[in-house]
Amino acid sequence: MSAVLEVRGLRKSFDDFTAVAGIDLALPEGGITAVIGPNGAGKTTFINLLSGKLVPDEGRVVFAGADVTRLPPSARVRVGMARTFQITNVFPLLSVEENVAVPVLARAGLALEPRRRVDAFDDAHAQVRRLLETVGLAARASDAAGALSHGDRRLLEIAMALASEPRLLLLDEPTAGMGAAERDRVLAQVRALAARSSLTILLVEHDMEVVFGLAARIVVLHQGRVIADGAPQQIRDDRRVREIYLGDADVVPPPGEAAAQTGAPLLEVRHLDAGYGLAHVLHDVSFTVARGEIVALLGRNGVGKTTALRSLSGLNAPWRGSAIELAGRPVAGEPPERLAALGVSYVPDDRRIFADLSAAENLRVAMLALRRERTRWTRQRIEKIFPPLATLWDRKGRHLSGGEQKMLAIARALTTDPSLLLLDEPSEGLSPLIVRILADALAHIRSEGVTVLLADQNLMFARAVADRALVMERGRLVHVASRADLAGNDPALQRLLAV
Amino acid sequence: MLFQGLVGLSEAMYLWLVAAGLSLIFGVMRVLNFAHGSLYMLGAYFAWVAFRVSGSFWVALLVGPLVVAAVGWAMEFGFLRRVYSAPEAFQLLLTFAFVLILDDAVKLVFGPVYQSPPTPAALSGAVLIGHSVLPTYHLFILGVGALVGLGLWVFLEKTSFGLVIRATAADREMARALGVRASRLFTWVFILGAWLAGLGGALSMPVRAISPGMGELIIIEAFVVVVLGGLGSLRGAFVGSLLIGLLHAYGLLFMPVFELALGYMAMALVLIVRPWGLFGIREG
Repeated sequence: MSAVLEVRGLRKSFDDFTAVAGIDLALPEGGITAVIGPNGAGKTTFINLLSGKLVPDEGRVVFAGADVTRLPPSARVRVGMARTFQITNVFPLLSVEENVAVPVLARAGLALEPRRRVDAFDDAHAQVRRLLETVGLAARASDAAGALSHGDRRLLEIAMALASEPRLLLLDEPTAGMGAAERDRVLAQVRALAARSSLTILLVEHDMEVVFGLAARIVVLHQGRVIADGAPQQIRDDRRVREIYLGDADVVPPPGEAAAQTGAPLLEVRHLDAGYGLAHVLHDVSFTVARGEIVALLGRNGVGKTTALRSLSGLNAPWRGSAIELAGRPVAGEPPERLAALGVSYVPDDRRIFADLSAAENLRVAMLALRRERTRWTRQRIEKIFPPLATLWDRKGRHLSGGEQKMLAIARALTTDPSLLLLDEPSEGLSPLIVRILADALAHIRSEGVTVLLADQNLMFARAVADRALVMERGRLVHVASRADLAGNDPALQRLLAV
Repeated sequence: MLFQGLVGLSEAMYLWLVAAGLSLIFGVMRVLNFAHGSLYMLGAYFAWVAFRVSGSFWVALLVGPLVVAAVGWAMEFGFLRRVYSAPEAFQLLLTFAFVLILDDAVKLVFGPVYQSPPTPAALSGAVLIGHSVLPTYHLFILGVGALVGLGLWVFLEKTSFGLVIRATAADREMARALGVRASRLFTWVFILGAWLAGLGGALSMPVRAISPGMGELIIIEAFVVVVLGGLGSLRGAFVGSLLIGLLHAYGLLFMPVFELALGYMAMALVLIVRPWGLFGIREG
């Protein structure tokens, strides 16, 4: 049986990082296939290679028997490959109907020919109607697209993608940022769409409920390769998949006793709501972190961990009604530079080293920013906890490896003398050696009285360093795990973190 | 030949001073300041007034740019900072509004007539280069332009404030997370950019005709320079200015018909081959 889409030996690297390291995949006509994988697994690169946004270094993409490896995105749409994006793209000022009419007319070649016969437009109009019915938006045809809810916009986008009469539809996180009811409505529409037609749907998604509720086949990516491919139950039972999502417990030995006696609360978060535009990411998150504690914020990717840390660091303004207290002082809504001065320091998952500045200059910026003459975290002390940095001070940020950048990013954050250190995915993509250094460093940092809140998607690192874990799912805090839970086999943790 | 080159380079220095400020402001603040040419114009008018009052060219050269820097502060503090988070179109509209307002304000105060103050006595001589005579003032301009370039380089590369500026230009969000007070930094960068434009205007006062439309003339060329050199790159602005200056000078000599078009042709060529400009950073 011939495949609609066939991918052979696909590879793509960026500088020294291999995002997609050889993927082979064949999709037969019809049905829904989901691509999942932890952060950095190569999902986004893979879908960009399929849609034509990126050109692979090696390998071929064959669609309906024709090689499309080097076709640009617009040409792929014409041969029958359509995609929707992670971020919604609709024309907010046009009506719902007009939004769909744009691609329909463009495809019919009517957009630029005002003198065509009027009944040709009737056909187009009928098709617009049909498409809106397909996604369940017919009743809203004359409303402005800007007035639609987040979920309805997504459906509108799907209708627009369907206007090109594709055989393959690529959906990039179709339910990101949606509440449960809205998500279920979008899911029902997508399911109905797949059932009614021979359309082949490939979706990339974080939300496991969506993946398992929708897909007949699941492909798991890890480090740019397919490590599992099969029916949902098969994937659930796959040992390697569980390992990747839960983490291999043996990489870091757990430290002897839970260190440092913890004291009064340093951070108190109450009813934190946050998001981006219409996407409501965090729902009523409340927790406290005691002085001297190391707390892990766990959850699969896309559950809102990064948004939580960004809200605490001031990079994302929390929504109204949220309360954040730092050592008793209300700080919700303060700008990031103010929070930095108050002792909150944030290390993003992508490190954000100043690439054109040397490692030493990266630290100096942190000193100068707060106009401090000295810091408790001198270079000598930083070299003690991150020995590999000792020989790298003159090297430009862009020439440091991922692990070195990670250490430098934490060192830079420490230079601001924080009382609260926020770490996003500290162990992601690091070699076991660096992970060990990092675990020891955190223990040392805590012994100096710094409180740490880290976000991670697997148990491995949290198990090694954390006193407590807060587990998130779909923007909510759903479970608290003690140190004993972390060390043992807490079934709730397994359920929330594994696929 | 050499003579023509020197004339071209000295003409390039006005452009460089304007383009440097424009590029600096864009590089750090991501704002395209249409009104930058108007600041250049104000520099010329303020220097002219200062000259009329004091009778000293040197006082004029000091006072003119400083007053422009103050105007820059008022623009940034009073207006621009309100639209940083707005779409780019709003920033362009706002700075364009300043072009219209400042032009008319100058017309209102000084009248639409062309003004041409004298060259200062100390710089009114000339030097013999080959068989041609080059006004001393041109050499002075060249020296000032080079000095400003050197000063900016030392400031950005060797000082603490420069380091923070470079970090903020590279990643504003991360810089703020480390505690950089970005809004205050922006104000200073804008003041510096305005001062540079004002200096260019003040320097142009004795040799170029002062008129209310002089800002528009130079801003378009400055945009050409900045696009050519790479948005946000000071080195690009410097090389771009020299290139445009030389193109004009030699263009005038060899193909006077095309002289005005040459700069745009150079820009089009660069945009085709390197859309991010000669020294710009490729994005995405």
